[in-house]
Amino acid sequence: MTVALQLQVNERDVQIDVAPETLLVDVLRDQLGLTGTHTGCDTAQCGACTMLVDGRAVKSCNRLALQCAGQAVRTIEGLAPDGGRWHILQELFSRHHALQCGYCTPGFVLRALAMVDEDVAAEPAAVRRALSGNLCRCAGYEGIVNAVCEGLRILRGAAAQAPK
Amino acid sequence: MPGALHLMFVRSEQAHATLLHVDCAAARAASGVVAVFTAAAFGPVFMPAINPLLDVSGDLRSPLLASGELCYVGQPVALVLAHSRSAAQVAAALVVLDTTPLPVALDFADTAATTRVSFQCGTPAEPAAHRARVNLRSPRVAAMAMEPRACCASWDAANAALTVWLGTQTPARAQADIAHALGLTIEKVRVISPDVGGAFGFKASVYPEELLVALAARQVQGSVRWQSSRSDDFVSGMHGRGSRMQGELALDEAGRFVSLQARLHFTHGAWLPYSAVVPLRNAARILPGPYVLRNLDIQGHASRSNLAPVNIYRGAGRPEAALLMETLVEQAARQGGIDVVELRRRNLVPAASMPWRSATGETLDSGDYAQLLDRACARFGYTAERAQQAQREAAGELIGIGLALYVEPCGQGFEAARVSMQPDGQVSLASGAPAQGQGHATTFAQIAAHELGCAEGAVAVLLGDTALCPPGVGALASRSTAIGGSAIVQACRELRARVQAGEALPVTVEARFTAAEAWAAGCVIVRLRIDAQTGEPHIERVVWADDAGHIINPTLAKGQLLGGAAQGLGQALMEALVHDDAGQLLTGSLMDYAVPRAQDMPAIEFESIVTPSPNNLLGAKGVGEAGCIGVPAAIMNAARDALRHCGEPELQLPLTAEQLWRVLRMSAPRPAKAGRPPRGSSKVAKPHLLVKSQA
Repeated sequence: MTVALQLQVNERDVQIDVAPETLLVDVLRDQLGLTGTHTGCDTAQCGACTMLVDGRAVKSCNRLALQCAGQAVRTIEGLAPDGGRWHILQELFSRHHALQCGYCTPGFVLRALAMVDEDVAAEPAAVRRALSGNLCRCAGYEGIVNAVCEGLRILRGAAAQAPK
Repeated sequence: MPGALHLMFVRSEQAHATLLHVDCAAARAASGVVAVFTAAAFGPVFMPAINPLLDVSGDLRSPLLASGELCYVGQPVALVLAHSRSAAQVAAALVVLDTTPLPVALDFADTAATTRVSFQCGTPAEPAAHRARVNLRSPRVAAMAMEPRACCASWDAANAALTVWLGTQTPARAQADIAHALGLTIEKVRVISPDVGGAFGFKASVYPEELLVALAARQVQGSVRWQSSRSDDFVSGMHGRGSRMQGELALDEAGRFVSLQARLHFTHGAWLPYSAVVPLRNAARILPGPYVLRNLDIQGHASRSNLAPVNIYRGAGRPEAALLMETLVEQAARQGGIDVVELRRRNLVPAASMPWRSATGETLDSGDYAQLLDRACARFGYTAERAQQAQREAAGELIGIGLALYVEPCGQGFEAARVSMQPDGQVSLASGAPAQGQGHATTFAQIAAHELGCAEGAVAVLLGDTALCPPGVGALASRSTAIGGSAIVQACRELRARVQAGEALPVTVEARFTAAEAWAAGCVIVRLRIDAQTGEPHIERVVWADDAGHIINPTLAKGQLLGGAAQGLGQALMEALVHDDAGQLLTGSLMDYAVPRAQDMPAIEFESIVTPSPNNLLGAKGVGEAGCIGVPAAIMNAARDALRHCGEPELQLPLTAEQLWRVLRMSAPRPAKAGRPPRGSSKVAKPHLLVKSQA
C-alpha cells in the first residue's frame, strides 16, 4: 500500500507515492535519488542524516516521510544546486579541514545552517554543545568547530545586512 | 544499482549452540522474496586463510554461513534475497533456527592458545633494586567508522565475471578473496571501492557477508546489494583491542631499566580474519618501545571465544604495548621516588644509536626520543605544571599529570603505482593504496606534481578500482604515504628520465616500491582533573610532540593526529564493548556505546620534530595511528598520578567516572576538609636522585 505525499524538496515541489512506514531519509535517498544524506546509525544518535525541515535541523532517520507532508525539506544537494558554487559553509568546511571521509559532513553542514537562526553563540564552547547530536569519527571536531564558528559569524552578518 | 535484489542476513541469536535445522519455508513463501539460501546452497566455502605472521594452531577454517554449529551472536546463518529491503527484512524474521544451547566461552575463559609469540632475550631474572608491576585490560572497542559496511555485486552471465562495489582498505586482496570464494580467476572479478565512509582497520579484511553477497549474485545471475546496520556492525562486525596484560619492570639503583617481563593474552573471538594475529604480534615486538632494555621475557598468546571476531583496529597492538610499558615506567618512577621525565631520560634509546636493533629483533630506523620528550616538556612547562599540581592538590583538588612516549612502526612490504603522462601534459596516477578519508588523492597528486614539475591540478588520481589501479597491499598500518608515496616517486622519476631521454608521450610507468619499516614516535603529556565528588575525569591540557618524519601535507597530517587522538580519548575514557555471560552484546547501539562528541574533545597543543626515515624515498613515517597509541597511555598515567594517594589502584580502560569514583570511595578516608596535606610523592621529585620507595 502506498500513500500520496507532497513535499517541497530543495525548493521544488515533489509529489510521490510512499509506503506509510517509509522514513524521510529513505524517501530522499531511494525514491528521489538524493544520496548526499547518509545513514550512520539506527538510533538517531549520529546525525549523519540531518536535514532541514521547515528550516529546523531534523534527523531524517527518525521521522516518517508522511509526517513531513507539505513541509519544505532542504538537503545538502540544495545548498549548491546544479553544480554551482559551494555554499559558504561547504567552503569553510574545506578551508578548515573539517572533514576526512565526508560521511558525516552533510549532516554537520545542515546542522550548522540551522544554528544560524538559533541562539548559539559563534564561539567554540557553544558550538560544541550545539553539535552534540552529530558524530564525526575521523576529524576530531576541531576543524568542524572552527568552520561553524566562522560560518555563523558570516551568515549572521549577511542576514543583518540584507535589505528588509 | 537498478534491479538489484536486497539481501538480508539471518543471524545467530546465540553465542554457542548446535544448529539442528534451519526452517526457511515461511520466509520463502513471503511476499517479494526471490530466494532464501543456507550453507548448503554454496557448498563448502570457507573464509580466506589468515596472514600467518605468528604460529597458529588448530582448525582455523570458518564457514561463510553457519552449518551444524553457531559460534557467536550475529553469525550469518542464512540469507534472504527480496525485491525490497523491507520485504527481505520481514522474510528474514520468518526463518526459524532449531538449536540446542552449548556452553559459552567468553573472552579469556579458554586458555588454550590458538596463537603464540615469545621473546626471551638476555637475563630476565637479573637482580633489581625495584620492581613495578601492573595488570591491565584493554577492552574490546568498536572502530565505529561512520559508514556501516555495504556491498553490492553484479554478475555478468555472458562473461562469467563479477563486479563488486565494496568499501575496503584492500581492494586487491578483496578481489583475490572473492575470486577464490567463487572459484574464478582474479581477472574475472573487479572490485570498486569508491568514497568510503571511514575504516580504521574495520574494513581491512573481508567479511563472510561480503563473500556471500558475491556468491548470491552469481547464484541468481544478477545484482545483489547489502547494507549493514549500525547494530549489525556492533554485534557481528570485527572488533578491536581485547587483551589482558601483566608486566613487571625491574630497575637498578641508578634508575636504569634492568629487565621487562610481560604476559599478554589477546582474544581472537570466534574466527580469525586475515590480520587476526597482528595485534598480538605488534604488542610483543614493539615492547619495550623507545627504551634501552636488553633483558626481556615476553610471552603472549591469543585464544578464541564465542564472541565476534577481533581484527586490526587503528593501532593494532601498538596501543597495548605503549599502555603496558608507559604505565610500568610511571609506576616505577613513583615507587622509586624519581621524576617520571628523569626516569625516561635515563633509559631512552639515544638518537646517536640509530638505527637501533631492539632486543625483539626490530630495527628502529631513526628517531630522537629525548628531543621529543624535551620538546613536549618545554611546551607543557613541565616544572611549573608540577608546582601548580602540588598547589592545587594542597587545596584539595585531584590533579594528575601523565606522559606517554610511543613508537609507531608503519608497515613494510610493497605498494604499487602507475603514472601516465599524455602529450598535453596531463598526468594520471593510479595507486594500490585507496583512501577512506585520509586524503590520499591530495597527497599523491602533490607528490607526483613535485616529482614531475607540473601543477597539482594536472594530476588526476585514481584509487580503489582493481580495473584501473595496479594491485597493491592497500591502506593499512599507516603505510600509504611512506610506501605508497615512494612508489609514486619511483614511477615519476622513471617517467621523467624516459621523457628526458627522448621517448615520445604518452608514457606510462608502473612501479613497485618495497620498504623496510619506518618508525614514527612521539610524546603526549596530559593534565587531568578528577572531580573528588563524582569521579568525573576532565582533561585540562594535552601537549603532543610527534615525529612523523618528512611531512608531505601538514594539514592532512595534523588531521590524522587529531582524528587518532579523538579515538584514543574515546578508548581511554568512554568506549568498551560489554558482553553478558551468555555472550550477548550489551552495548549494541550508540545509545549504549559512547564515542567522543564535539564537547568531549579538548584542545591539543602540537609540537613537531622531523627525523626523516632512511627507509623510503620521501623520508616519511606513519601518522595515522599515533593518537590511538600515545593518548590512552598518557591519560591512564594522568589518572594514576591523580589517584596515587589511593595506593596505586589498578585502574582499567575506559576510565569512567564510575570507576574513578569507586576507587576514591574505597581508598583510605582522607581529611574531610580541603587542605589535604601533600605527601612526599606529590612534590616534584628531585632529579638525579633515586630514593627507594618509602612504602
